[in-house]
Amino acid sequence: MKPRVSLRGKRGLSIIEIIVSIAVLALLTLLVISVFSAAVSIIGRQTALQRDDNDAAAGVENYLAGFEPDSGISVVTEQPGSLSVDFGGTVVTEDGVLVKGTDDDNKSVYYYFSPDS
Amino acid sequence: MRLALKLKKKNGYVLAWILCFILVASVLAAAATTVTIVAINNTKTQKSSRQAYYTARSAVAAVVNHIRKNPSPEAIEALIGREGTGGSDELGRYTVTVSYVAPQKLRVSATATYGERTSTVSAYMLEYVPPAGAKPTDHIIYVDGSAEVDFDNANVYGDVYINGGVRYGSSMTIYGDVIVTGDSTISGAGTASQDLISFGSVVITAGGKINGDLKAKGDISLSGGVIISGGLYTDNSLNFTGGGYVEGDAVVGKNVHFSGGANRILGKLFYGGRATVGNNNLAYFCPGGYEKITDYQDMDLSAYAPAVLPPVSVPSQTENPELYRPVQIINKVISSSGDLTPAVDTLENLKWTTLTMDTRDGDLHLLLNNKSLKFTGLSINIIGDNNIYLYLKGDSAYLGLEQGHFRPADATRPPQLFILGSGDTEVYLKGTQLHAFVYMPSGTMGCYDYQKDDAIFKGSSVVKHIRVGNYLTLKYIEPVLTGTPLENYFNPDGGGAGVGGWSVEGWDSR
Repeated sequence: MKPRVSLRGKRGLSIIEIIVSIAVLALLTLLVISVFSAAVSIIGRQTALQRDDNDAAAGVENYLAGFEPDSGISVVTEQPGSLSVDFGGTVVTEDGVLVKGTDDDNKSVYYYFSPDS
Repeated sequence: MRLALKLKKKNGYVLAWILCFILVASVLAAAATTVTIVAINNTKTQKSSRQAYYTARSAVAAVVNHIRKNPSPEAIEALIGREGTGGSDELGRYTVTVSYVAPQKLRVSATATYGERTSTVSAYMLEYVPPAGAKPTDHIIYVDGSAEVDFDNANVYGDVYINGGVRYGSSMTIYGDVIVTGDSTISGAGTASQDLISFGSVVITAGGKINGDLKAKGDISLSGGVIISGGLYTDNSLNFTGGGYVEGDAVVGKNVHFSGGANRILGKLFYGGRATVGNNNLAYFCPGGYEKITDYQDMDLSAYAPAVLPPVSVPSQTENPELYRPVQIINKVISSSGDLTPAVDTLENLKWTTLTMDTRDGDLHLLLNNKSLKFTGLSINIIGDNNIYLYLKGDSAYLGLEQGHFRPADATRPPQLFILGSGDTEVYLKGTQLHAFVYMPSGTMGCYDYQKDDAIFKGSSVVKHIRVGNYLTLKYIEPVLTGTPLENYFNPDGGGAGVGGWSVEGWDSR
């Protein structure tokens, strides 16, 4: 049988020591939590940015492939435009449409020019 | 381990452990934050790279489009060896170069910069050169199938092309060349043509005549007083019996056989195989001399190869909404484009009268959509200087013209009517004069009962089948295709479809 340990005669922590310990722990815990929450927030932002970017690109890719984009993912709009290339005096100007591909929240955008065939 | 044991012996070691844990956690969180910030920057860089790619591709697409629309060597030469530049707020800056990587291969390359990122896209273009060969609209009749043209005392002014076999006779006179890709059978006194060029065998009997050269890839069989005014050429054998003669030389790749009367080849005979003659005397049949040749080369008839006939593309409702509106017939005048189909009953009731088609305000585009329309005793006069494009759409589209005419009011001017058939369509003429260019690559044209001095048909007809009755005259008039829907159907120099040009072989990017 294990002998019983008696706390009698032992010296405990003073109230000041306990208060200081709790204060230090709270401070450090706050620090860790704030760093972690910042990290989590940035990771979430990065994920959203990547997703929006891919969604916007999917709109343009669908346009190039001749498919209607999924409106829940990306939005494609067209507006008349032209694209010019100046070959040292010989200017090639093609009329067509400027294709704007965005994600469904309009946070990321890509442009593509499609000439009239 | 020692440090841990040491700490365990001291008072307050739990606090030390907690401090260590917090330190490690802080370092991990900071590291995660740093990694994520780097990832965000990478995403932004990736976005710039992707936009640069789309920009470069846009610039290449525009220049490729320009080359397609301007395929002349001069237009391309103006771009070669120069750096093209351009840009916009949305797309960023780009530079484009055009260079030959082979005689008929171009590389169009664009480098775009967006957000300090660059991307290069290249397109490789190949030049399409249509094959040499016959141009369909150079012929009064171009048949893309077999034809049995058996009509008496007919006169055909213009070249005839039969992409298939042909059989004709009974004093049919063709004042032009006849090109046949299959076998030809010609018979009857008074039956004649200028050159006869055949990719198959040729059989001429009973007084048939060629007022020019006879060229054949297959065997030639002549009997019954056949006359060839020019030379005779065949890659195979010649069997010449029962009278007749060739005024020029005869060049025969393989064997020759003569029987019957003398003086068959008035020029000189060249032959590559064996000669068999009725009396063992070749000079009796060839007074101009004869020579056996050992190095005979087959004839090159590629200039007469059949053309590819592109199908008619009837404009859609979006492309030409006017074509699908019911046609307006006001006081027996049609002066605007429209669909004839709803007005078939009205038009068929216009008998023994005159209908005017007025093109003074521009071209008329008319549609007959999968229905039969038969005019009887109706004279259709075209006025104005513009054209009429009559689309026959669908296998049931049939245009019958009986006892009247369909031509310019001034009958001496070139045809203004283009009949364009999409599907197994038919144009049927009976006692009616038609001045038109008929292009129905899957359709049929029939001509009957117009026994007059003038031609029943003037223009050019490109069809799948043709049927022709007796005592008729057909006259070729060269169509002016510029500005018409047929403009880009054929190579101007003959041969396959299209006018040549550039197409994209593939894309590359880096």
